[in-house]
Amino acid sequence: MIYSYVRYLMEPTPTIPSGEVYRPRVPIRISGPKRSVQIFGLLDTGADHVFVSESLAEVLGVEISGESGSASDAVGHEIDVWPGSVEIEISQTSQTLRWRADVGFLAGDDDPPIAFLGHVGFLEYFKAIFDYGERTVELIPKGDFSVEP
Amino acid sequence: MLAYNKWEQGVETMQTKHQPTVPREYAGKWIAWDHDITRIVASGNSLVDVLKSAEEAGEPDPVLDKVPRVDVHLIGARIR
Repeated sequence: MIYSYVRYLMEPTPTIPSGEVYRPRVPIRISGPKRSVQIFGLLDTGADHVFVSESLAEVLGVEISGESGSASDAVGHEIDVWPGSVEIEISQTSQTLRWRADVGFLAGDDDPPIAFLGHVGFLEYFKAIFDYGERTVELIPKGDFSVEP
Repeated sequence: MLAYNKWEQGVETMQTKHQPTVPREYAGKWIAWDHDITRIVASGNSLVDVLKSAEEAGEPDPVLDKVPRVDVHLIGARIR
């Protein structure tokens, strides 16, 4: 399964003077008790597990009340996180893979992407080949990908 | 638990044919792509509103995204 990076047009910076930023985003379907939606998740090898925006909880019908935990971003800022369970599906052409995952719903609706697709709950099921030159990422299901009919 | 649906062994070699591009005007907003991810059909300041707008625009199953602001770069999480 090969996906093109998504190109974002941003403010030019000294490191990216063109202002063109390419990110490995893949379309997935995420489902809760109420409904399912398609979202563009960010493949994130720096994330321990899957995190999604708390805005999705309302749409999906996932209860996130109760005591929150916390997660740290790459520079140590702490963000409130509520646990929840969803179903994740990824497909391309005739292939569809689906699994249940415990994810963290990220508080706040400011800057984060709609979903960080980290190791537990997403990347653990694939061998991922990032090719920034081609602006593509290939997701190869792992041999121990435990599928059932 | 993983479910199986029409899975075939081997690597899928189908290449995505185009490069989705998010123009600067959508920075900081929620957006909805059409099902084929060829155009943005709705945008706004809340996910619920964008989902509703997409449905009203005739796209019942859009691909949703949150666009970082133009001055926000990601480093595994985020930084300004």
